Amino acid sequence: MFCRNGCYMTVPNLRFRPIPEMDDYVVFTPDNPNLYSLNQAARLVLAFCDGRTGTALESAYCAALDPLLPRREARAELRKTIEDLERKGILRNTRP
Amino acid sequence: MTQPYFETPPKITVSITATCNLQCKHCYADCTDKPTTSELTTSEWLAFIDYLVENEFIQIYFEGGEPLHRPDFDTILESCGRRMMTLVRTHATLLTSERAKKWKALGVGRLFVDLMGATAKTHDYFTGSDGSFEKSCNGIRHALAAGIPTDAVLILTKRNVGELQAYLELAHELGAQRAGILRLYPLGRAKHHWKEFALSLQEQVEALAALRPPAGLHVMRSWHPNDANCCWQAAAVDPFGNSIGCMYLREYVNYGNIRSVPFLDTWRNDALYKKLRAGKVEKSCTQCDHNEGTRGGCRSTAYAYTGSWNAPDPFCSELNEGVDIRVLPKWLLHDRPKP
Repeated sequence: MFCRNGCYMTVPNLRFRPIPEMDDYVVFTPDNPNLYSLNQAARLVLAFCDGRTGTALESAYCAALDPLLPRREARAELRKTIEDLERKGILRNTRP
Repeated sequence: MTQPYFETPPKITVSITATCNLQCKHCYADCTDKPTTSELTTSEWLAFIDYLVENEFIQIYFEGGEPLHRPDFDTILESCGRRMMTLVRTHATLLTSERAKKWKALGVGRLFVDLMGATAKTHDYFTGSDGSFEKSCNGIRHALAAGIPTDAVLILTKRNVGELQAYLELAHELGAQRAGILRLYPLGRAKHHWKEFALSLQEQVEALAALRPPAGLHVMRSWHPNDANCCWQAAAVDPFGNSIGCMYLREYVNYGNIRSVPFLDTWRNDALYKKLRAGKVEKSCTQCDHNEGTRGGCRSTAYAYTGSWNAPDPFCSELNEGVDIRVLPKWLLHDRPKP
């Protein structure tokens, strides 16, 4: 679940494989072995997940999508994406 | 239109050995108990796995032979389980509870276990080993208990078509989430049992259409409208280090040996390899193309029945054009078949 005070980072030891020929980006999660294809929203979220807080992440995400996506929709998309990435073991909140 | 061209393929299949503790009548690899020629050594495989990781491969699929029959297989798994999505196809007769737990710890991501029927009588007939059915079923149980997702796979033949529905129910009872039904390929010992095993395409299609999978069980199958030409992304190496694109092409092609040529040189430079990946075929089934995003169906069976790499795949009912797939071309029974 999204937490404004959380510190978001990718889970250690993931392996990423860009597949530009198919406009795809795949991640391998060794702790719970699986391959996931990352959509554009997930790729953008992960690019910002360097340990910054949920609040900072939200600001960065919304700014990156402005004016393509209204702020309210961008926030909803961010939260949904974070939850999905956490569930798949790709992203973690280091300050739960 | 051609298929996407990968600079480096993301996935690879490795036939880790051509040895096996069983002597299956349908074996595609002509497996023996002991290696007949020089298979890659442990250090050669480990170096190759490092090479794959360095070159951004993200999935490796092991098959054989029987991977568990190779004494160093766990060492090889250990080198890749945490670095690439690692899949293993096995008959699982050698998979104990302890070994399954170890594989889980090593990072094995999914197993595919061969069952050649829903009964011991049918399965053991194919393997030539009494008790092998029970051992394979136990292997599936051990893998699932250890937390490794496990699928059952069956090669469809005249001898097991009557228990196809029971096979799906068995797979479901064992706890598999998916059950694969695979076509029979004219390779290895299977082609020498062709008359005994091969069904007509119509019989295959009717058997598949009659299936009623148990709720929650996903059935994987590759007949029309899902007849894929996978060559565009196919990378495979046999136990001796030969780059062969796909295990179903094992008797027809050799793009170079990784003992003397870097794998990606075979991928990038071999003319036939590039031709097959381009997906230029004489005729395509639009439904299969639409569903699989590929062209012309499987190249292995297209070549086996016509001797042409560009021909339609007769296993697709839309492309069959009157080919009786119960009858093999004679040249196919040569040791290294060439038309």
